Amino acid sequence: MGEFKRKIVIKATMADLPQILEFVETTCREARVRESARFDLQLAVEEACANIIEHAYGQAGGALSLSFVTRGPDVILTVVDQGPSFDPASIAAPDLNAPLEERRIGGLGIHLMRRLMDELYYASTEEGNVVRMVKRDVIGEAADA
Amino acid sequence: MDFSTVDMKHCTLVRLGGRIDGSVAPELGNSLRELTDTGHYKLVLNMKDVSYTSSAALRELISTWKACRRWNRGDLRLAELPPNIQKVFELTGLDTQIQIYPTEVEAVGSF
Repeated sequence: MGEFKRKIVIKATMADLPQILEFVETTCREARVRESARFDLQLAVEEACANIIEHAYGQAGGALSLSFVTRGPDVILTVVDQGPSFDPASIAAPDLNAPLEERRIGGLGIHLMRRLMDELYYASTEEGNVVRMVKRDVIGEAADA
Repeated sequence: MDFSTVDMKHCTLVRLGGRIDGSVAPELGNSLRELTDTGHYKLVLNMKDVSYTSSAALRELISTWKACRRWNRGDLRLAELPPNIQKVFELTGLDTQIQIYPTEVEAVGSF
């Protein structure tokens, strides 16, 4: 299976989320990602991008690139931004067992990224802040299909 | 996002539809706040036609759920969650905190 690669670079604000998610959906179709995984990939990308827009860029938005690469049956999504360094792994997981009245309202996005993807990496590099997410075994026929 | 309301005898039924991503979640929050600000604290949200949702929408739902339940004046209950939406509630543990009904009739009848 050859490598498949697509990338978009945009100046992202919250209003641009539909365009980013449309890119994920279209690319999933092109790469023949199984239907059952497409929702998960869109959701993980939205949570990653929304965090950047919310915590790094604010309302003015800023440059963000999203690349979609396949490696065998796996999909690797990489989001790069130039905002202040922000490590999603540093955010405490929400206490899902605490009564909702007492729960902190944030942290759900990162929690979803962790649960939906098989691997989640963060790095601060010369290129910018890099969030890399891997979802394994989503291209081709499912073993359990 | 589609948002429409029906006043029932014991509660207000909200029918939601479409994609609720972070770009439209604030709109959902505003529409729900209009309801609670005008004294509608017993809400049923039918999510049958919602095709996508993220943590941005969950935050709005949690905040409305809290507003509805303040001083025991009401509740926010959900109905007819499509499988992907149900999964988001399960992954975030909200399915054990917010009442979810398989049908609209059961959710409305619960008030």
